[in-house]
Amino acid sequence: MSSITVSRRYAKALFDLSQEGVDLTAGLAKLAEVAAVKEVQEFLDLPNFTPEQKVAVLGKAAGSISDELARLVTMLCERSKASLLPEINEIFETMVREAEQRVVATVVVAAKPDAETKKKIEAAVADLAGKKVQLEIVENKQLLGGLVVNIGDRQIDCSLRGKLEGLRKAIAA
Amino acid sequence: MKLDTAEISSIIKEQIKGFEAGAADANVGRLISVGDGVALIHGLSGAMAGEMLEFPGDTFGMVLNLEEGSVGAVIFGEFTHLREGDQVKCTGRIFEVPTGPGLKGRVVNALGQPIDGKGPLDVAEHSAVEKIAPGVIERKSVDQPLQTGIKAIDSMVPVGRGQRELIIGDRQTGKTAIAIDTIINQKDTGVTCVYVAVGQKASTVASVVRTLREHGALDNTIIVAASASESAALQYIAPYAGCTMGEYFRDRGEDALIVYDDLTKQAWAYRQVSLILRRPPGREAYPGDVFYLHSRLLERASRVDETYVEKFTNGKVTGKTGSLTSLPIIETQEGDVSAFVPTNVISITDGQIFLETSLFNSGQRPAINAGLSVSRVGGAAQTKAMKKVGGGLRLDLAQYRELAAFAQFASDLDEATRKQIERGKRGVEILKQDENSPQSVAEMTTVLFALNNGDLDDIEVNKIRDFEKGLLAHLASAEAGLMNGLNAKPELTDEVVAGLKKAIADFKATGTY
Repeated sequence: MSSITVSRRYAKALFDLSQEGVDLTAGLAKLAEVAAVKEVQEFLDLPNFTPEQKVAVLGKAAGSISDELARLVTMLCERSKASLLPEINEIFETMVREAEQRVVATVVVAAKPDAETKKKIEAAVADLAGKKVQLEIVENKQLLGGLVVNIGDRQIDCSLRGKLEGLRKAIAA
Repeated sequence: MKLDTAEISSIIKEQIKGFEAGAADANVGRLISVGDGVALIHGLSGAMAGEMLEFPGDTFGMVLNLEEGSVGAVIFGEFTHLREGDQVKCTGRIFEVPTGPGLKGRVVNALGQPIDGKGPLDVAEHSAVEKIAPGVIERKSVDQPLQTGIKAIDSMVPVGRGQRELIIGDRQTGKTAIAIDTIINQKDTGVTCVYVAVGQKASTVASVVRTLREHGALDNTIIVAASASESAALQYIAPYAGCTMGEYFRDRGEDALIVYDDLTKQAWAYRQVSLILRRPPGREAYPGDVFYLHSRLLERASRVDETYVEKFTNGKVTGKTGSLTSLPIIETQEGDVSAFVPTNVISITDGQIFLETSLFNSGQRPAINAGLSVSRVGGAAQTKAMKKVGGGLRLDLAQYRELAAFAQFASDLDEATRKQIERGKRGVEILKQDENSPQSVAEMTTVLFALNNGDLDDIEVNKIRDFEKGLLAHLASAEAGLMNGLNAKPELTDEVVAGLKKAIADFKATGTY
């Protein structure tokens, strides 16, 4: 079974819990951040520490963690799946965003836009996605002009570089 | 070549004018891994099975696996420039190759790109590589012969236009030779040929091209080559690409012939791709759909009716049927026809030409085993003359083999048995034929007529082939009218029979053999 299938099951369980009013978002994000560190991952895979010891270490590193999250980590350690924490968090966050009709859009631009342009871009992207948009702006001078919007797997290329590339293909064909 | 700069500028101007630079809305993913021509891609949530994907550096691929969270795809062509994390785009199109008469006389790769150094192709159309075969209603029975020009085949295992006849045998038994002879024999018949070379040495392909050119058959032949050095993905797709090129002619009311040389290697390539894609291996490690791999390809060989052609061409071509005859080749190991792929293809095709190493080594060339070779539909397409002279040949040969084996133990034989053995010996001898020398219907009919009529009985067995050569030369010079008439209307009327008898008697009287 692929790891994504397993992660999705844990993420779904956590999402259902959060829908019932248990606040997990911040704690889980912190845990995932800690678990993504290579040394921590190696430690989590070591068999000579008990799950309780691993929870204590993770809890200390991530600040305080709630009982639910402590139980999650125990469960994952018992099943040797603690390394899935970052992936679980990613899927969980996507689920939360979807539930809140929110989407993360990465906009690649040639030059950093001013506040007004940024607002315009945000409005246009929100219109395009049909959801509330959390905008992330990345600068890439190779685009020459225009912008490229990435929403999930969807990419809308309105850049000068993309147009030139299209022209090259049209002439070469 | 003279370059007209003004003309080039105007072409570029038109292209720029026609280019619409709107926002490109695409579904994208990131490359996770690439190995042996197979890519694993994260994202591409909107990808469809069989869809063409665009990789960086003008490289294309095709979606084969749709999994939760990732997409498995084969890459066509070079893949060493691809890096982990590269962007992959959906194109929304199915993989296509160029089609049309401009491909005749050319050698192309599995993507339809020319590899013969003769410059760009003169083709305007492109067509999808994977297509659904014509349905039941659109088909017509096979009733026109496709002459291979090989006596043993045209008399005993006739092939009809639209038929699928398997050529099966061990290595070095003359499988390719039969296919090449058949292509050579089509040079003035209006049948367009497609030769698909899969997993062969590039030098072998080059020698096939040379043979066809020497015999003037290259001009109506398209050669699709996915040689052994090319990726497994290209070897897997090459037969489909060739089939699409052949279908172009079928759909326009013409006749076409396609040779897949060979499907064993295509199955190997597909097995390799499937194993890298982690599809569960089955018998002989082939994936579960290896039968469908060949059945969907061979189903596309068909004869379509007038209505289909008319509908396809929007009424431009009327009253014509089209056909795509296919000659798949399968290589067996030590004559084992019960291996997985050979049994599959035998069950899919409308008959098989079985070649044997022992026959080949004993000098019987083409090394066709008359007992195991069959044609399930070709009989309806055989010419009347050939049906008459070749009708009893298979039985006669079978009886001869039995008697010959029996005669080894007995010293005294009765007259009838002795005669039958002598006739059989001459029958076996007359079915021998040189490579690259297919015969016309009239030539084959005359020779077999002479055998049936007992004209060869008084000729020594080792003189039979000289007699055949002499007789055919005599007929070509002295009886051209009779031969042309027989070629135009292959029927053994009383008049023709009398003419043949007289011509054979005349030749025998000269004693020049």
